[in-house]
This record gives sequence, structure tokens and C-alpha cells, in this order.
Amino acid sequence: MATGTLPLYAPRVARRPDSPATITIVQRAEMHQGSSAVSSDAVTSAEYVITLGRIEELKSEVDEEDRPSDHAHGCALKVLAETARELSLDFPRASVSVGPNRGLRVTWSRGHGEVRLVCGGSAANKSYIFSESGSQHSVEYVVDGKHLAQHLRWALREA
Amino acid sequence: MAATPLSCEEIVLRALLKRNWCHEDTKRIKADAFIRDPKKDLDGLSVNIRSKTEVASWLATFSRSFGADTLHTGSIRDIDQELDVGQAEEDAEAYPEHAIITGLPFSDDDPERAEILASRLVEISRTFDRTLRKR
Repeated sequence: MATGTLPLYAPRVARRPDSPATITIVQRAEMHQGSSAVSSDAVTSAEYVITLGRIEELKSEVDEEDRPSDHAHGCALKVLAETARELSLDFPRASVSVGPNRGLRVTWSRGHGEVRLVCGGSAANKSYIFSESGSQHSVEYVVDGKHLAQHLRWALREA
Repeated sequence: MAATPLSCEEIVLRALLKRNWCHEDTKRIKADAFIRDPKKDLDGLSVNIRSKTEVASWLATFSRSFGADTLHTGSIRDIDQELDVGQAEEDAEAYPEHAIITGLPFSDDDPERAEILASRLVEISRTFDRTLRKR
């Protein structure tokens, strides 16, 4: 931990590529008598952790019909991890449910904006990103973290 | 399938049959509740006619339910000219309280339209019951 006299230097923030939604905050603090100290703390987005926890709850449902398929589960985890790398601590909490054919539906809502990541239950089912903000909407069939992050930034932006 | 249209004044109930068809934090119904399931909603999205339904008994017939929302039939029709609410002829005698919302596409056939219409249905839905019932 850093010790010494605040104010700190402006924090330098770097993504840790092996851990989505986790950032390393490096701070350097001026100490007494001209020396300095550097601290490093890993912080994971709590919203991302909550979202993953909700998906795991669905995965442990008793009835198979109420559980997402392995295909949908894998798709969602991959895309969410990529999105978390894009958004870091700005990753917003999502609501999750199982859709037709045991697909996984992940929903973010804020004000009049909403984004839905739909992971099909199998390769034969469609996966897509749907977003809307007010009277505008958009559908994206390239389902990856980069595109999902773009939709989240657009639809959930502050008015 | 022939369906007899309901009166515009009729209120219908949509049961929440899956965990998280309502938002975990706000308990507001989600678009997920209005996405047609090709295995279960072949003819349309199932609803019950409020005036003919004893809600607690009806929701208790499912293996698990999480409540229900109400929707106004006329407001459903106002969303899109393709949407309607009717009663299948074969239901009229056996299940007089049962009706279906027709005109919603499957999300695999038309994702954009399925999601937009689901959003509009959420907008006109009113929270009615959020009781977890298990058999």
C-alpha cells in the first residue's frame, strides 16, 4: 500500500489482459523527504461479477429446460469477458434469463435505453445484439465484445 | 388456426413462467416474457382473460410461476396492425379463460421485429402479481 502525503499523482490505469473487468491501479505517492512509493491494486468490476453470478445461478437450475445450453452459456461468457475488457469498471450490471431453445438472454437497462445480448441455444439458433434508445433501435449479428460494448455505450449513455 | 378476436376492453394476463422474466432488481417485466418459444407458443403467445380467471389458482397450476402482468387488448392492437388477441375455437369450450396474442414472429425468423414488438408489449404491461408459486 502507498503511504505518505496526498495528493497522489494522477492514477495510471492499465488493463490486465488475463482478467476481464479487472484493472490495475498504479498510484505513486510522494513521501516525506523526496522519496516516493508505488502501489498496485487490482479492482474487478462488481457489476461484472454480479452478472456472471446470475448466469451461474441459471446454470444450476433443476430443470434442464430452465438452464442455458452449453452453447449459449459459452457464447455469453466469451462475449461478456470481451466486453468487460472493453469497458473495464464501466461494465454495467445485467439481468439474465433463459430464452427459447435454452438460449441465454442478457439485458442491460438504463432510462429509455436497453441492450439485449441474445445467445442462441445452438448453432442453428440466431445470436444477436439488440439495442434501443428512445425511438431508435439497432440489431447486430456480429456478436463479440467490441460490438456489444459499442451498443452499451450508445444505448445506456447518460441523457 | 382460427381465433375469435377478444373485445378491445378485455384485460389479459401474461404469466411469468421463467426465473428472471422480470428484472431481478426492479421486478419490472422484461421483453423476455414476450419472445415466442417455438416449442410452446406455436399458435401465439398464451394469455388468460382476466375477467374469467381466478389468478392465484391459475398461477398455481404451473410447476413454477413468478407472477403475472396485465395488458389491455386494445393497447396490444394499437402497437402494430399485425398484432391481435383472440381465442382459438377449440379453447372456447375447454379453456374459456385462455387466449393468444397472434402476430409475433419467432426470434429466429425475425429477431429485429420480435425484439421491437416485445419492447412495446413491455411498455403497456402493468405489474399485477410477483408471487413465487411452486407445486
